[in-house]
Amino acid sequence: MDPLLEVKNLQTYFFTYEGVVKAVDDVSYEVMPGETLGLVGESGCGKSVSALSLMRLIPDPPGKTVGGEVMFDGEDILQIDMDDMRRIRGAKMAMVFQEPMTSLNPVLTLDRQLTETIQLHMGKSRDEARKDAVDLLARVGIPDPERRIRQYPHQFSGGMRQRVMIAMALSCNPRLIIADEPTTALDVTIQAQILELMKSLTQDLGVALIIITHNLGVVARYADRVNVMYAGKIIERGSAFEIYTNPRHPYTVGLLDSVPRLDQRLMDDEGQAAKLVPIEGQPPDLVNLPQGCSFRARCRFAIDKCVTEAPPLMPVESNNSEEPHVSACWRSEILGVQALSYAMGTG
Amino acid sequence: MTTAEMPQTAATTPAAENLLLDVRDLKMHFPVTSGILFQRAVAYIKAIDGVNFTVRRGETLGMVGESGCGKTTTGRCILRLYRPTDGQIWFNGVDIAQAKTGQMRAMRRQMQIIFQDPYSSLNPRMTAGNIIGEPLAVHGLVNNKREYRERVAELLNNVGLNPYMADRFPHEFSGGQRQRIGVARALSVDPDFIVCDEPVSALDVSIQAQIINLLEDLQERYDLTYLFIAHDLSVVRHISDRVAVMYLGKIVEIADRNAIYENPQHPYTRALLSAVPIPDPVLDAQRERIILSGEVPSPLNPPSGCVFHPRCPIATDDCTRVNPEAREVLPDHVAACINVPGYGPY
Repeated sequence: MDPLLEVKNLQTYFFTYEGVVKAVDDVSYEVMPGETLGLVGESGCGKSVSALSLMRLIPDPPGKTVGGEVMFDGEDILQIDMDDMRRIRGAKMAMVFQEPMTSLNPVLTLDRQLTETIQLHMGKSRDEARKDAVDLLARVGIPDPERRIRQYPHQFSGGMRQRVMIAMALSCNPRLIIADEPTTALDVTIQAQILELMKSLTQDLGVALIIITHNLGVVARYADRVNVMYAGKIIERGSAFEIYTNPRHPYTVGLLDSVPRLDQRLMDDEGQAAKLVPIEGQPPDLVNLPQGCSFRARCRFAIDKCVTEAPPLMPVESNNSEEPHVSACWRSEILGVQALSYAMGTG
Repeated sequence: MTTAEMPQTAATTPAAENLLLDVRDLKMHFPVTSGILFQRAVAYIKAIDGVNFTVRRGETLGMVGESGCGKTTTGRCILRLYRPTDGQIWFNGVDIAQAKTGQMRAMRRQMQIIFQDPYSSLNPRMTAGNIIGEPLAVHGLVNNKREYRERVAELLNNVGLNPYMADRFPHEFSGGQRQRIGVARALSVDPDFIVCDEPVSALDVSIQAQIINLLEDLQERYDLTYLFIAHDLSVVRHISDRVAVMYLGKIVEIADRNAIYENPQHPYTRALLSAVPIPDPVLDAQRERIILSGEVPSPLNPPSGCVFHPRCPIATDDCTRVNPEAREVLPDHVAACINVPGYGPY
């Protein structure tokens, strides 16, 4: 099967007074039709910028996608002109943003906001578009859609607004939906509702989904494959199962160890309360990235080679031969032993 | 002012001497006003509506719930940042619910708060040193400039910052470092009790662990008692000794940490726990999931009977009528649900 989306060596830089911020630096990945891909990382690691680059929504200036290719459905969408891009955006590729409070227009009713894309991309009349919009609202679980569609965004709660955003993203039967932290602003019980909804809708309709999040739990539950990003680069990729049971990058291991988990043991063998293992230090400044591996300053396993040479993504031993598992670490083999103890619940 | 000068006497406090805080039937109703010149209350938002709990000396009580459930309001009432509508707050043997402003200022030497947002809770025009040192001056805890500087340096050191950072302004710090400043400020008066209001939720995952560990170390070193307010159930499980679960202005369940997480009784607690994703695809797939329908109702117009009944998977007809009081359903395990075994007749 050919990938639906192929990102090759994407580079998006921001040109600021302090210098060039390499927000996304040489990132490559693929999305297969209908799959759910997770993009995990902390704030400032470039996960949102990489998604906005795909939609060509990077504010220019100061930002610019300076290199790479984004092959979507057989064409490089970084090369096409803005009119063609507008025909893709919303129609074949749609986005769900983090803040349902700020991404809807407060002075327009939902009717206007939902029908706009349908009229534009599907060439339908206002009445047909409204009928479609009502169906969509019902589909995403908004009760009484006929009445609700005439209301304004402030009359909806946060979870309801995110449902509207999902309806909007689905309105033109896209092939790919990019969800940028879709549930971060929502409460736990609402978060579960929204993620279940997205999962079932994308499965039913065969839409590919990129979930961008900092929440490792969300990705574990909903993604087929996971990309872990750090300082503008993908540092590990594999199936969700592999990333969680056999992490092979010290950053991924650190992330998994530093979050308290409901399934975690609270006492160690001596009966002492178990401590979290934080990743010491701060993420690096993207303007002055150090030479070599950008994680080495916070890494317990760093060796001399990490200072001089940045590690590329290299295949690691994995339990699943179909899905390649790659890690950008010179010492990923040592981590294999660590991961074993982690999987057994003693790490 | 010492506690002896307070109008209330310790004689009426509960017998258990290791209780630091005893909150009884606390209510905080915010008026919704109408009219411009002659404002009158047309309705009340019942942010907290009859909350009872205790905090023992040296323990961490975790308080969880979704946004709008009243957990932050509870924390702020205890510090008397709000004057509660009704109820009693016994702190160290003194009822502070109705204490006067001056008395309260003295009490705040014993109780402090760490705020959620390290970006908006620090004055951008004050240096880190002055933010941390201001309480020292307010409470007269230092005699001269030199002592002041030494104490600020010590506090910075205690929270893992460098003393030379005292002259920097908040914008020069990262989110995690700012939260450390917030912690140092709370510690400056050497309090017994700290309300931690979502202290890590604005921070990145790898930084959260640093702050949680810092709070745990400080608790051990200074014998602190925490009320730890958060919406992240995993974080609360990690740090708390006991946990209270709030929903729409009421505590629906309160028990020992392990009891809450391993044997939750209230249907809301069960749903809440099952909604938390676990970063392990295998384990997560095996768990029972309860997806609640609908959303939290408005506290302006709460449902009749049990406030949770419109979303409750096990609600019965009685739930629409009976407002369940919190009762002990198991030893040291309090829940407010008439359908929990052990609740008894209602």
